[in-house]
Parts: sequence; structure tokens; C-alpha cells
Amino acid sequence: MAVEDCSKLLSKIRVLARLEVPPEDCERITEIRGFLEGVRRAGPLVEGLDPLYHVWEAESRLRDPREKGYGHVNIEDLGVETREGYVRLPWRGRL
Amino acid sequence: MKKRGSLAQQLASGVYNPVERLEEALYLISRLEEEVNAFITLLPEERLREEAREAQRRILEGKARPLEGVLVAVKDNISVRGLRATAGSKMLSCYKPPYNAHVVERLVDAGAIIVGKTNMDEFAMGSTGEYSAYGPTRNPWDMGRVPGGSSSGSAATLAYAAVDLALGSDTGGSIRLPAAFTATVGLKPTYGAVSRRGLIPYANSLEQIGPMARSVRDLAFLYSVIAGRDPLDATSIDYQPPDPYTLEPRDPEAVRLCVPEEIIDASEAPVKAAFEGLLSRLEAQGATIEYFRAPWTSLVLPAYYTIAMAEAASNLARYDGSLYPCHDSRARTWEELNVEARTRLFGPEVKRRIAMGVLVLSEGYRDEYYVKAAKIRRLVRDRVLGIVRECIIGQPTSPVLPPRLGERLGDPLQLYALDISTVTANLAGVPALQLPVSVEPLPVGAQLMARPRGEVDLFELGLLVEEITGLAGVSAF
Amino acid sequence: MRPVIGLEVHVQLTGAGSKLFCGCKADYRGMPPNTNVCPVCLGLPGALPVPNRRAVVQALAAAMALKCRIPGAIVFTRKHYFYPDLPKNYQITQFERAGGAPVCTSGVLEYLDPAGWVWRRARIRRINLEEDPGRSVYPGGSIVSSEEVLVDYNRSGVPLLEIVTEPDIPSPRAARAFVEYLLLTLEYIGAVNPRLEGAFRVDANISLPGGERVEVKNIGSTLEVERALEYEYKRQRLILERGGRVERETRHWDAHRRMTKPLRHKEEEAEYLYMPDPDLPPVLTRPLLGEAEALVATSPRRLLDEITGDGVPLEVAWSIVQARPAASLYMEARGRVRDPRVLARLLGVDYKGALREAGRGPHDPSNWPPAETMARLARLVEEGEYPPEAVRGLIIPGLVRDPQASLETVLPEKAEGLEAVVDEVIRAYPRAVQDYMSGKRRALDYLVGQVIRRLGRRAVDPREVRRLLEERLGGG
Ligand SMILES: [Zn+2]
Repeated sequence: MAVEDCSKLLSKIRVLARLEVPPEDCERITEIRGFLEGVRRAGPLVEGLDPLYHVWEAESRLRDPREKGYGHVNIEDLGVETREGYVRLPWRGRL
Repeated sequence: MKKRGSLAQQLASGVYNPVERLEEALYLISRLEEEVNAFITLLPEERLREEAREAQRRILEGKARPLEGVLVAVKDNISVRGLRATAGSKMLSCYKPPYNAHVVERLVDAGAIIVGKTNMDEFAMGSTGEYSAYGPTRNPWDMGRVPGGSSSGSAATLAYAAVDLALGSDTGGSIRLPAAFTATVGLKPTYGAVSRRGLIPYANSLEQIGPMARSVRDLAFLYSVIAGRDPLDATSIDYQPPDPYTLEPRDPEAVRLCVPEEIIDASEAPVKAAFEGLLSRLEAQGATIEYFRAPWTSLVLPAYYTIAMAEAASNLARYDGSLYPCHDSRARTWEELNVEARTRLFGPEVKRRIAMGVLVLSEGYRDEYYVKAAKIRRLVRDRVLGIVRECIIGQPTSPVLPPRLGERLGDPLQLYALDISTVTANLAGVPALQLPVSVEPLPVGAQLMARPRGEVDLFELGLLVEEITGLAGVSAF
Repeated sequence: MRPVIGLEVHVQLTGAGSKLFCGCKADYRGMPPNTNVCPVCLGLPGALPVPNRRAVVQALAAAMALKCRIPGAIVFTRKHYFYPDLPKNYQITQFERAGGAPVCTSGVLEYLDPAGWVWRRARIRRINLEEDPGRSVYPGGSIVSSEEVLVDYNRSGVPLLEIVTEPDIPSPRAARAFVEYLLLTLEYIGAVNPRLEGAFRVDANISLPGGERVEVKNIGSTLEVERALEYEYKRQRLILERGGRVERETRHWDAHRRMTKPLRHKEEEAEYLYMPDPDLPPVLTRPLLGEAEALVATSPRRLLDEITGDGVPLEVAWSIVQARPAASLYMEARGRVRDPRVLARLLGVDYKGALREAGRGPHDPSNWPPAETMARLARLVEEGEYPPEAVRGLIIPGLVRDPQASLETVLPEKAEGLEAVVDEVIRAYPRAVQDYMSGKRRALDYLVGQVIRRLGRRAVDPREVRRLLEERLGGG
């Protein structure tokens, strides 16, 4: 992966993961990407296989809506800033 | 080096004294914890003493519960109500879960004393214990070396005997690798056998909470308490763990062990020598040892990391600076808040894994990476199930001896390579037990893999291996 | 210029009891902010989702009602985007292209368009069962300008059906009819009470020949579906008629100003990092189909067919079916009357109208009398015992006041009590009596009026008064 590919990737990460990865990391990221490309070596070994992990003989349990599981959470206990019970967060800032 | 008697035996015979044991533990902690750094949070001594006295009282009154007064360490990604759970990250340095993990409920109901929350690689992403925001953990067997990760603190504290049991979590070897590096015993259970409720997730489809101890029987004891159906975990299975009291070592004549050549070839000389030593002693006692080829071995690491990173990117999206606030923010907008919190509070390895996870799930790449990896998982599962129907798979747990601190930090690929032996069990969903084979000059461990729900096979064979190695109950201090 | 309209309707399963994946309430209305929350719907780390059985069954019932292809297994998918009201920053939904499986694909809804009383048909592309996000309030103005956002997670995790049509709807009026009929269908399943505030939201896309497709978001009522699309239709037509170009864009419906406005910030290329949710194994549908089928048994269409089959005009039948208690009453009482058309009129026109006049809801069963009362009333009307004015003006308002009242107490007074008043009036108005006796027949009308006036608000049948007067005054 070329360096400009990496900077494109980093801006993609910024948008999709809301995360800034420093450009110094490009070398490592390129290496890891090359490592993950190892999945392509599977070739014909995996042809026609179902990619869903769900094939693990699984079936979800269903819950009766009256069932109680977790207790209710007091939002204040999370240490968030509230106003009249609402969680207060920045949005567009001062325009 | 020291050897301790079986906790299980002490409990069964009623000679276990929680008050005395706690004092010993507190002494070891005061002497060693500062250097080892096994805990992120320790409970106040007074509270622990009170719990020990209460446990002692119950024992004397004949009201002891299965783990009455037993000292347990809990990995810091497992939720204990009201007790800070950082998962080794700055991101959660103020987070106090408002609910207990299912396994913690069971521990508490069984009378265990939770001594503290153990150090770990940030969000369980790491194989050495060095990627914790709370400083690296050291290996009690050699303080210049890593204890392995990501359940580094749980393994290290068992190795210096501050606790007798510990909970870890294993996504790709995070219980077994540190157990191998610290000469302790660790189990990655059958997928679904132990509830994940309350486990701060890294890669949900791969990971399990599991027991750690200094002997197979003690481990089986803890396992019998934490395993079993949880209706609030949709991936939990109907399952009855083996009864720890009635376990017996397996007759060596009835042992059939299958060894993958690729893993032996990938192991460095001292590891190979120690493991092959075990094999020949087993064989001498009448066990059948077979070698087989596992040509998919070169695929397991890229497949495992692709899936783990994809799920990590998804699971860690929630840490956006809003519901887990613990820092002075200068952000004026929502997006700024997200980027600021995530960029400042995630460590470098976590950021890399999120970045790669986003890549492998994005349009145009998903089919090439994520879907391919998922298909490889299917392939590995099918092949492994075919083998464990016939025999137990045995192989070294780690390809190398415990690395020196800092040795693998520079190169992520060097780090990922440590997991070559362990990730297969997570991809296949089968149980895997690690136990020590030698401690000279440094700990080397063996890993046994069985059919799904085959923990009983692992315990029986494990007891036999302990008879051979004589390493049950061993600790560095 | 005929528009082409496609709809995306989000309907909360208000009748699901609990949220989709946790035990918090599905109907959070009236609760203070952030008091209907738990670790699961706040997305706290380690909290795990377990699907609500009733929500899944209702979703399957909706899929059946819309004649969909139903998969053998529902597979939940994570859809990622960062938003303050989405606590995990992903929504659990379904997406077929990423290994998920929606509750429904390729269905169809035949809906009644009351403008012209025709049946129309719209294909359903798919239905997803998903989590509703929390609710955001923008105190400093709007979503595009507010400095901060206030979030209430009470709604977070409420089961939501996302129903997407093909672009088969021919007019804004038909779009409204579609949504109304769809909601009625879901109401009959027991899945939603569409009258609850915020129980459904509509996004619509509309294009005209020669123009691009415009998506209108944030439509909150069926009336506004018509208004928003009507507005957008006229806006686009004007542009095209002036030779302009209609660009592909997303607009926001401002219900207050009754206009659509462009969403100022450009929508990013949608990239949702879809991934099957590893916490949720597939939900097998086969074991649930029987239960779902039972919910679809009484559909609006089936009832309409039955009622019109009794000879009831479609308008009246539609009026009955729109109020579920009326439909139940009709079905229960129809076998006890000679002419079901009379019963239908009583229910769908007279009684429903009286409820509206009295400001009472036709959807609350307790506002309706028992079937036996309605059946007996219908028989009295059939037998001509009471004229329509008495039924509409006296009997029905009496029942509306007290639906549990026995019919006797609301029926107009018969002769006994009347006789005294009639005699009183004969004594009080000798001139009118004389006029009548001398052949001025209109004097009788005057006397009837005086009797009714003296009875005040008591119920009376004017024909009965006339008969009594004639009897007293000896024929005339
Ligand atoms: Zn909840």
C-alpha cells in the first residue's frame, strides 16, 4: 500500500471511526494490512463456505417482554452532565 | 519457587482458613505488588478482612458455600457493581458499572472474596500485558519479562500467590498465553459455556470469560461455579460443567493425543524440547501420540485478527466522550467531542485495531477481508471438529519463552505471532486448557483442545499431565 | 405531471410490552427523561441484547399481513453511525447484503383510497425490525444550528418496524391513504397504537417526470404526509415548468411552516460498516409463524369484505373498520339483527358521529355500549319504533353519555308520563284547541310543540304526542 493510499485511509478512519491516527503510523498500518491480506491465501479452500459465524448451530433465545433482567440505571450515576434529566452534549457549537 | 496444596482439597476437608490466607495474601501484595503491578484496583484491606472473618464464621457454623472465603482476582474488563472497571484503558478510568457480570454474581453467591481488579492490555488487545494504560505487568518468575496478555494481572497475581483463583477473558489466547508464561493453569471454555454478560467486549464472537488457577482441580472448581446457562446472554448454551469432586486423572492407555506439525515447527527450541519431553513421558505411560498436518495454520492469524479487529471497531464505537466522561473536554461540537476523546484516550494499539477494523468492514473491502476471514473461520471450525471427535489436540501454548519487557512492543506483527497456537480454539469455538510443563529456566506451557463441551476430557488429561510434571500448585513466591 | 412516490414508514411496536432487547417499557410516554433506561438500552459495555419474543412475533405478523417473503431466520445486523441519541453508535437492524436477513422482502399492500373509494396496490420492498434511537432535543434552534443537544434515552431500543415501499404510489392523497391503511393493519395486529405521540414517522421520496428523486424526512402524521408531498409536488412542478432542474437531495419537512427545507449539511456518502451482530444468534421464524398468523386473522380487509358482504355501503363499512371497537361490535351484533345495514349505520355513522361530537375517542372500547344494547336498538329501529330523529337526537346521545346504561333508561318516554302533560296543555291553550276542533289542522302542530317544550330535556317521540292529542281531542 502506497503512502498516499495510507493518507486516504487515515482520512477515512477520521470520518468513519472519529479517530485520528498519526501519519507516523502509516508504516505499521501498511504492514498490518499486508498481514491481514493473508486471508486471501485461503483461495479454493474456502470456496462455497457460508461466511456467517451463525452457522455455529446457534439459535437465539427469545425473551418474554415481562421478564426483568437488568435493573434500571440512574443516568446521573454515569457522571454525565444533565439538564432537567436530559443528557447534555455539544452539537454544532457556536456558529 | 513454591508449591501450595490444593485449594479444592482444603475446602473439601474443611481446613481452609480464610483469615489466615488473607493475611498471607496481604503480606505478599505488600511485598510484591508494587513491582509486579498485577492490580488496577485493590479493595481496601479492612473490607477484605471483614469479609474473611465473615467467611470464617460461616465455615465454623457449617454454612460454607462452595467458594467460601476463597480469594479471587477479577480481570478489569469484567463488571463488578460500583467498582471501577477500566479494561486497562484511560477511556474508562472513571467508569463504575451499575451492574454485576453474570460470573461475578455467581462468585459472590458462592462466597468468594474479590480481592481486586487485575491489570490487562487495553480492552484486551495485546499478548504481553504491556499495552495497559496503567503500566505493564511484570512476570513474577522473572521480573524482567512479560507475564503474557491480555489477562496479565490475573496470571501474575496467581503466580505470586496473592489469590488462589482468578477470572480472565480469552479472545485469542488472552487466558492461555499469560498462564503459559506464569506456569499457571487457564481454560478457554467452549463458546457459550460461560456467560459474557458484563464482560466489556473486544470481539464477541470469539471471546469467553474463563477460570485461572494454579492447578487443574482448583480451576475445575472455579469453572463449576461460573459455567452454565445465562438467559440474558443470547449466545449462552445449555451446559452442565463437570463435577470437580469426582474428577480423576485419565488412564494413560486411553489417551490419544494429536499434535499439529505446523505448530511444533513454529516453536523455538526450548519450548519444543519441553513439550516433546512431556509427549515422550505420556507415550512411555501408554498414551498414543499422533502427528497430523494442519495446512490451514498459516491462515488462522490473519483470519482471527480480521474478525477481531472488525468486531473491536464496532464494539468500541460507543466510547465517544458522551456517556463515559472523565476528562476536561474543550470540544465545542459533537464530532469534535468524539474525535478528541477517542484520539486522546485510546492507546496506540487500540487505535490501530479500530482503524483496521473499519477498513475490513468498509465497502469494497468487506468481501476481500471480513467475509474471507469469516469463511476461514468456518473452514477451521469444520477441520478442528473433525479432529477433536477422534482425539485431543496437544501443542505448545506459546511458540516462545516469555519475552523480555519491551521486546515485542515495537512491532505489532511480532506481537500477533505469539497467538499462533491459541487463536484456533477461538475460531473453532472449542475448549482449550493450558497447563505448565516446566518452569526451568522459564515457564513453558502445553495446550490441550477438545470437542465442544469436552472440558471434562481436558480436566482428566490435565490431571494426568500434572501427575507427570508434578507442577500442580506451583508459584513463583 | 404525475408524481412517483415511495415511502419509508417507521412504526414503533408500542404493543410489544418491552423494548426490543431489554426489559424497559416499549411505551415510555409520560415518563421523565432518562428514567426508562437500563444497561442494555444505554449500550453500557458488557450488557447483552436478548430479543423480545412479542416484538418478533408482531413483526412477523406484519410481514404476513403484507404478504411478504419471510426468511427461515431473522439475522440482526449492526449499522454504524455516530449520533448522540444512538448510545452504542450502532443500531441493531437487518441488512440482507451483509449477511443479515430482514423480516420481510417483496410484499404487497392493497390499500383503500377513500378519495374515489378505490383499492390501490403498493409493493413492499422490505421490512426491518430494529431499535429506535433515543430522542434528541435541540434547545438552541434546529438540528442544523443548535449549539448543544439534549438527549433522552427513554425511547432508545423501542422496537421499530421500518417498512419500505417500491415507488408505486400515484399521489400525495394516495400516500396518506397508504399510511393510514398500513397503520390500521398494524393496529389490528395489536402491534401499534398509531394515536400515541411519535408512534410513527414517515420519510417520503417523490419525483416528477424529468426530475431527480427528492427525499423528504421528518413527517409525523398522516395529514402531514399529504401536505408535505403536496408541497413538494408543487415545488418541483414549478421548477420543471420554468425549465429548471430538480436535483437529487434530502429535504426536511417543517410542519410548523408547512414547507420543506433543504438539510443544509451535505449528507456524507452512506458507509455504515454493516456487520452481523455477534451477540445475537439467528431467530428462527418457523416456530413463531403460528402465533403470528393468529394476530393477522382479523385484518381490516377481511372485515371490510364481510361487512360490505352484508350489503353495507363501503363508506359505512370503512368508517366502522377504522374504529376497532365498532368493528368488533358489528361482528358480534350482526347475527342478532334482521337488517345489518341498519346496525352498520347506527355504529359507523350515528354513534361514531355522536362520539366525535361529544369529544370522545372512537378507539376506546369503553366508549361503546355492549353488543346486546346495539343489537336491540337496531331491532327497534328496524321495527320503526322510533324515528331516525329520536334515535340520533335522543337515544344515541344518551348512550354516549353512559355506554353501560340499559337501553330502557335512554329510550324516549312512552304514553303514561306524557298523558298528564298533554292534558295540561289542552287546558292551558283553549284557543288552539278550539281552532283545531274547528278544522285548523296546523293548530295541532302548535300543541305538539307546547307539549315537547314542557317536557324540557326529557326524551319524547313527537309522533306519540300527536297520537295522544288526537285521542284526547276526539280525532279532529
Ligand atoms: Zn433498557
